[in-house]
Amino acid sequence: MKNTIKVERAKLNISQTELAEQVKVSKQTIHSIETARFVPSTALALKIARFFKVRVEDIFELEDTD
Amino acid sequence: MKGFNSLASYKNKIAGLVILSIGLLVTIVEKLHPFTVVAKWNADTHLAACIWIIVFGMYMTAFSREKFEDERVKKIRARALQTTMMLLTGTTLAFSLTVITQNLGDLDVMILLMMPAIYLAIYLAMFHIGLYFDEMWDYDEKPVGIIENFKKNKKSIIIFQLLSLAIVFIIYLLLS
Repeated sequence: MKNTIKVERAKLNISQTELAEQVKVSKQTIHSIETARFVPSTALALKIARFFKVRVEDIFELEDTD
Repeated sequence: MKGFNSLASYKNKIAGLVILSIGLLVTIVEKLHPFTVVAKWNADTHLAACIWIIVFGMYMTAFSREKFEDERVKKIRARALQTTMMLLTGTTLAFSLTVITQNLGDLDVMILLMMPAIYLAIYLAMFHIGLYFDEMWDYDEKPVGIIENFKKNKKSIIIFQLLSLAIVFIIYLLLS
């Protein structure tokens, strides 16, 4: 599953640490999600989307391999 | 089933690491310069006590939360525990089989088999209690409570309970 968290972060100019604090996970978890090594739960995906004020499907996108 | 998944706080991990370090240090000292703490204990008992401290420290470290115990950590922990359980019981079973087939009488094969038997029995009990007494069961898209679920899964639950009782009874027979 690919995502645009890095892009969204860049728009708001916030670091992985700041995003992690906002959605109450570790910085490593944000990094793992950004690099597509970890697929977040629905709750976490919704929290991330809510933080960026966008819809979940605007950030996360299914790939053919999923 | 929430209680079954609880871990100690992150502070316990720090305490566990301290105990583990002390245990390692004491064991090294005990091996290099044997000392006496309890007069009626022999050298082997002293060494066993030192190793007990190491294992206790590892136990505390293993079953404490991380600083950020989020969903990624939980997933990694579950995967690690599953793999460890599989490798541990697998290698012990393989080793036990070697002892039986090669007739290595010096090694107590019963102890070798008892350890994974106890671990697996606990694991299977916890897993099936979690599975059958989970509050999230639903039938035909209607959620049901624990009692109703028990009634609907009577056969499976009774079979599982009988198997558990048989395992406990065999362990009792072997220990008595």
